[in-house]
Amino acid sequence: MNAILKNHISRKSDTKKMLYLTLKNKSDELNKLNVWINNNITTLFKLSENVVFKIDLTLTELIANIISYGYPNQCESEINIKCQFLNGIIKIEVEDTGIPFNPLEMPDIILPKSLEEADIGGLGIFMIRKYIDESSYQREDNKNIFTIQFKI
Amino acid sequence: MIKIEVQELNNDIKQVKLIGRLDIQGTGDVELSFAAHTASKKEKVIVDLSELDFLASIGIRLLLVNAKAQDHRGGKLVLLNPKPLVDDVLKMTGINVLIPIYTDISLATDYLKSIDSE
Repeated sequence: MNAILKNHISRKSDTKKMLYLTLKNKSDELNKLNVWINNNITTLFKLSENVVFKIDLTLTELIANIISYGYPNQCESEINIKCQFLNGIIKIEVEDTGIPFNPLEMPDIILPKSLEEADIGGLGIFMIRKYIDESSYQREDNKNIFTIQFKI
Repeated sequence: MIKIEVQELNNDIKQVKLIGRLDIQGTGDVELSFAAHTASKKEKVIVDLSELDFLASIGIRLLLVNAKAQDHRGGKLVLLNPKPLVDDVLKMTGINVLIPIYTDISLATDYLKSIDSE
């Protein structure tokens, strides 16, 4: 097989392995996210329980955060999610039109030492950072674009 | 989807089992009934996590709030048998330092029984 043809085939199969989901910025949309992860992503990419759990937890926290805090003016908008599996890496891009928010810039929380002190905020972002292997943030055209990666 | 099952054990210990997902919807669905069963009066409570498949930050908050409320009432809430992935979440967020976690129900009941004699 010549190099050009081989390249074409592999590119074609890469494109196939891309999944998309669009959600409205409403909390009842999180069920769609859950179904998408536990059915579509899991089946297409044949992922282990461990990896699915990480993706599920990270995206649940991230999307919930966007829905809760991204739209203080309550306007209706869309959150676009793209998931790709390539070279042993799951790459997920989350794009929203909410207020600028970079989860990577949030200060680290200090975990409480006793139940009495416990009043945890920011736990969701803390969990996202602990579970992802790589991440990046961009603000472009009034959109937050947060990209996360999991090594398989 | 979440389900809650409550069982009275010996020695005035109550077992509350959470089955399913403590995600945003699950936590919302079970919040009131979980609080009623675990923190509405002074009690010794074992929260059985052996069939809990998923735990988000909102679910952690539910466990913390009610463990704290039960402490204030003079009772105690402990966790039992989380699945490995849920256990990872509990450890990563330091919950294991705040709420005792047992993998054996007899150790959990021994601990709760011992509280009286203190």
